[in-house]
Amino acid sequence: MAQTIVQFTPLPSLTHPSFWHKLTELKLDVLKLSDAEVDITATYRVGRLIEDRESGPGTFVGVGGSLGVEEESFGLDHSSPAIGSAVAKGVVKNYNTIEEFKAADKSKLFNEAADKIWKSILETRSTALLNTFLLITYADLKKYRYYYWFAFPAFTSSPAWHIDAHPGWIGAGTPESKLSDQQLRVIYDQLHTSKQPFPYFLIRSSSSSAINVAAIEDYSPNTDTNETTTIGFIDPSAQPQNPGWPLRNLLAYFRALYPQSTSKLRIICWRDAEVPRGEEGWKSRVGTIFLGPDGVSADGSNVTTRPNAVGWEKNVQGKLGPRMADLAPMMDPVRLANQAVDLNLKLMRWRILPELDLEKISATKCLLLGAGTLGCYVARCLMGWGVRTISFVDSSRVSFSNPVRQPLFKFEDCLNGGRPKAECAAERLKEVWPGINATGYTLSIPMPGHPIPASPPSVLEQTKKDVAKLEELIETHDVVYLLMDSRESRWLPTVIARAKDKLVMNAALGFDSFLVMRHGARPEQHSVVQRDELGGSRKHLGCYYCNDIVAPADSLTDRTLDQMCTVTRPGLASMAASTAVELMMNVLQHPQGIRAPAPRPSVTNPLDNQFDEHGEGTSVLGLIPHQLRGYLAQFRNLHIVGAAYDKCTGCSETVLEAYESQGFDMMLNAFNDPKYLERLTGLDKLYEDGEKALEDVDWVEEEGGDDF
Amino acid sequence: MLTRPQFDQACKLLVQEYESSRPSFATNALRGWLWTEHPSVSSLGYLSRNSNYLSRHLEPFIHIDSNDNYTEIDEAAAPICIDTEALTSQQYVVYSATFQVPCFYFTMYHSNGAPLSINELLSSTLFRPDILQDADTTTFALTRRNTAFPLLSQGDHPTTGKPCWFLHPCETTIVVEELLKEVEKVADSEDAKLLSWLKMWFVVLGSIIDVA
Repeated sequence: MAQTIVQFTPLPSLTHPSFWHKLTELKLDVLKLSDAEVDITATYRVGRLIEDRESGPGTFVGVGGSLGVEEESFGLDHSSPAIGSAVAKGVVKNYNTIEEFKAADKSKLFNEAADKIWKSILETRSTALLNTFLLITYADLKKYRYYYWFAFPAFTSSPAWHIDAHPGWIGAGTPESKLSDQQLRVIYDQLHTSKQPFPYFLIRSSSSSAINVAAIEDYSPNTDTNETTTIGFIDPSAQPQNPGWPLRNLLAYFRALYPQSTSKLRIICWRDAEVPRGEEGWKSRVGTIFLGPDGVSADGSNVTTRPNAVGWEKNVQGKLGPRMADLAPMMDPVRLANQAVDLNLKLMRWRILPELDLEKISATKCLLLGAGTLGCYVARCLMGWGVRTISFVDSSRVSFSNPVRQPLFKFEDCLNGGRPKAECAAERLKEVWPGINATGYTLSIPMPGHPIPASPPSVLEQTKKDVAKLEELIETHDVVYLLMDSRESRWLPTVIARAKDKLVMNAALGFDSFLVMRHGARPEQHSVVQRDELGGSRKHLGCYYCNDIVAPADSLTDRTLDQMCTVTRPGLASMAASTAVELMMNVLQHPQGIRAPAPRPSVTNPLDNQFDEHGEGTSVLGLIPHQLRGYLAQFRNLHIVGAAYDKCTGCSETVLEAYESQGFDMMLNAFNDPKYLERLTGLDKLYEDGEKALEDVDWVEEEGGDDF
Repeated sequence: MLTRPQFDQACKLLVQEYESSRPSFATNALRGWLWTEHPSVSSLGYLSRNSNYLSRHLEPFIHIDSNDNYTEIDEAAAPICIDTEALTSQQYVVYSATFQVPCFYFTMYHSNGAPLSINELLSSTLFRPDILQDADTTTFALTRRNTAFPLLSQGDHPTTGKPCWFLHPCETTIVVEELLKEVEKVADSEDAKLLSWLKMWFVVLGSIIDVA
């Protein structure tokens, strides 16, 4: 008959988050820097089988009863465990630094724990410490990470315990097990009603029906034999042919105290937390094990020397090493905030729009040029969508009139000359949501029609730096928002962003009207220029300057106060800002993104501002218009489509090629010479031609003067 | 809708009925619950139990250089399976005073004590596999589907104060009472009606969560 070595299922550990919370509390309040051992208790219970649906129906995985620790483990008295559970005593040793944790003398600690168990066996003959355990920890309280390692010292046996491969371990309650269903019920009742818990116990059957549960300490080699007595223990293992770890020390106990009569033992692995009902049988397993392959024990000498012990828990890779629990998502308030924001957005997707690509949105980096009324509202709306990276560019400081209309600023920001708007806005965003990556850059955007003075040379130097910085910022972000308060300041970013193929969202305010638009994209080099019935306007969309026949010029000098501050109806800014952000979201959901065409008017209702909601220029979130003009007096939005103009000062190929080949020099020309852009694009000729045509017209004058 | 006393009664009846019945697949969801009360304040009782789920996503391995390469030679240790991980879930049925219905609260964590993130929760076997659309396969279809995914939220357990996930109960009453119309018999006693109400609630819950 083949004999196999009895292999014990290692005991897995289970740490409840409350254990870590309690350990943290203990360290902060009591232990502080002490690494003294603290007594704790743990519980383990019988294992269960749970269905592994991924492996196919009817596949079960043994989920071992784990040795569990939680907050209550630190309490002095563990309440009496339920049937099928056992309590184990242990110690936890918390180190103060990761170095100390790593350098801890694991062998020494382990051997000390094993010695303690051995000593208690020999001196007290008690089973109380057979299932003790050791836990070493290091709590990184800044990062909320807990490094730990459990050890369940178990004495090895030499020679090893064996069992006959056939029948091996068999189910209790079957005829072969020699324990009837009736007897098992009696055992169950006795275990259930006993005043003290029995992690280990003896089952004595004096005659065929009387059966008694007794303490291991009552064992008597003279009267307890394999025919009369079965050795039992609460077994956390769920594997049919592997008994659980706690059995090892019980066997060592018998070998130490009764070496002459315990080389062959009948064991019951108790795995029933409740009486089985119906057809399912008892889960407990019964088997007869013996020492050495041939059942002949060693001469029995030297039983008082402590055997070798093993039992450090293996980590997730199955290797001997510590484990780590990262509780930051639960304890770090910043992570909690991130999680909540994330959950909120996911609900939108789960409940309403499964096709919504939220990851794309949160990963989109937004550059806001202008941290004023529009900038503040745009930033908050972006944060609401979970956008993670927002950068502000602004050259001015917070002034006293700002806080009421610019929701990121407070009164105190106006004092002492006023804080720089860009940095202040970024800081305020972080106060709302610490998880946001917000930065502010104070810099001036040079404008056409505002010449850069030739001296002192530092001014030119600074301008060069600012332009380079702006180029870098546009390069490193995905979307550029033009939210400034003048027309000409939008020119430079328009050109740069088009050259770098970045999405430009443009918003501008009038007194009671607004413009929100997305700039068209540069046609791809190898794309076939398609023209539809409206001359390609729907696919090649224009920019802010496409409808101008003059270059942007100085519109700021000599303006009156109301023109300078762009006095607007207060409600307008948030409407325009929100519209711009929501329009961007629609663009992002379109597969062509920046190249999404404008929607077509509806076939059935082309004149009444109705659009085909399922055709091109639409996404899961709805239409993606090119331009929206809002009229607050009428509470109305108009959709407008503007084709790209081949002589545009902002987006024509001529201008872009000049920028790409000449760089800063071209820009300097544009800033300094008001006619440069007109000459470059040929707008000047157009103007001349127009003037000439006007002169050429033969105004026919009727003879006879007026009729009225 | 249930009043607080009705909820308490229904829960106690449930625990009683299934304490001594035989286990079967159909009644798995209803068994194993314990009724617990707050130690000092009355009318804050709730049902609770522990459950295990499987996950293929294992805890991240953090490499910690140990100064000594620890080895143990042990022929008597059975090999352990490292492919699947058992997750522990504490589940509660709590009374929602605002909506006057039972409300399902739960926590789920790895064996090292780390709670699961939203993504891990979704890829565990806790949620029924068919109710969640796979977000990676976004299409640009414009028809809006009526997803049955419940409002998963985070909140503190009303009695223990511990942070949990919960399913927002706002639409529960409507669904449960719709279903009850089909099965209820007028002649049932008050107790029987309460128990059916709670069982039906579990049925609805079971369509979303694998209350194994």
